[in-house]
Amino acid sequence: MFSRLFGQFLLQEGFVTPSALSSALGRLGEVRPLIGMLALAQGYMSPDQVVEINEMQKRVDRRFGELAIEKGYLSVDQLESIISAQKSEHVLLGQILVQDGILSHDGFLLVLEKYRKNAGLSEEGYEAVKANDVEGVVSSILVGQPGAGKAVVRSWATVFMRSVIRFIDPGAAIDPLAEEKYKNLRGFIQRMKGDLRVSVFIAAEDEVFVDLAQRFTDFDIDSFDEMASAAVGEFLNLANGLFTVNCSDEGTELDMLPQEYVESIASLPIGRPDALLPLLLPKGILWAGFCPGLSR
Amino acid sequence: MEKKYTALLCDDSAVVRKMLRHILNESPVGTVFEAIDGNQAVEMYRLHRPDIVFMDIVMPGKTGIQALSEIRAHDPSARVVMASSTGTSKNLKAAIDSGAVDFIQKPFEREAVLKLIRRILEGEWE
Repeated sequence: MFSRLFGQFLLQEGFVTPSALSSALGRLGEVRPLIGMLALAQGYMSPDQVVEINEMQKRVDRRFGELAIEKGYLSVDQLESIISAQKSEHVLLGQILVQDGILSHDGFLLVLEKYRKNAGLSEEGYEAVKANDVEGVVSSILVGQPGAGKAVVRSWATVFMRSVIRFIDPGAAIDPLAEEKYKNLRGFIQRMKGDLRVSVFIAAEDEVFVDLAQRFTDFDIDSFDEMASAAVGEFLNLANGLFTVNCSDEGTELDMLPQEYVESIASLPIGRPDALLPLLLPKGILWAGFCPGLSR
Repeated sequence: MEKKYTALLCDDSAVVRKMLRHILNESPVGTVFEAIDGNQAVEMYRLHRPDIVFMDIVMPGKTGIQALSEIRAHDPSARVVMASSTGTSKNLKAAIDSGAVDFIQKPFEREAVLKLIRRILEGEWE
């Protein structure tokens, strides 16, 4: 969820050249995931076992999964879990680099371990995220909301709440009893377009925004001035950036437009949002809404 | 530490420029220029030819990728690091294909930025 993009990591650590990475990224949509690479990434099989089964497949016309089960390297349950798993972009990228001879199976596993260790797991907020059942909490607040059944809405709500917990307040919670009074508040909106057209807004009283700005930046901010506004806008941009990365990993491409400040959410041409999160922060409620695309 | 390098920070957010400036205080970068959009970044680059550029992607008007292409057309040796909160494969590929030397995702991690500066400006690999 919060990991840096795998390709970016490979480049920064010097595992691939920019041209090799660009070539591999350009072929992501063309390749089908291989059971061996998925088993490796899941930790079910070792690199030697994957290479052994690949070698066996050159001699016998049988599927990877069948041979791996026969050798006792995979259980039937593990194979089923691999097959039913969602497409994972970083595994596909690793697979292309292995096929191109840029990484070995061992190399892929080592890089993957380093990537996971470097994914910011030590941050206090991330620990809080791991300790909380964010998806369960988000699902419960979405019941009865128009977008409750849409996967993209649940994904946004989960990413947004995790971002608040991670970057603003590890103790943030949803307040299901909050009175729905956000329309006359000032706020920020960010539109996204591409495979979908969606907009996300946040709204709050000034003291909530000022506190959010201070926590996000660690700067001394004591009023809703230009720096506070820039900080709140940047937080929205950051949360939406993580959402677009998640969407991209699942095959939905979205481009973000620059976020905009509005004096009053009521001035926006929106009806009831698909999802509305009342997030309880130390100074009050931060409202976050996810809306179908709205025209300018 | 000798402060011998110059940097250009291009981001429409004042808070992001300030955060990066704080991190650069601990690097061998001594002079920092700022631009608030892609057009200004191209102008500032031509004027100052900084040693390294940090460029946002999503900005009003000219995007960071467009500004990167113009800067590289003017100076093929320009060292531009794309800095964005949206690290999708599509953006990463566009950045590489347009000549970015690296891509860093927000929020900035102090150590990661300093390591990247050492690598790009002083050729240090760890």
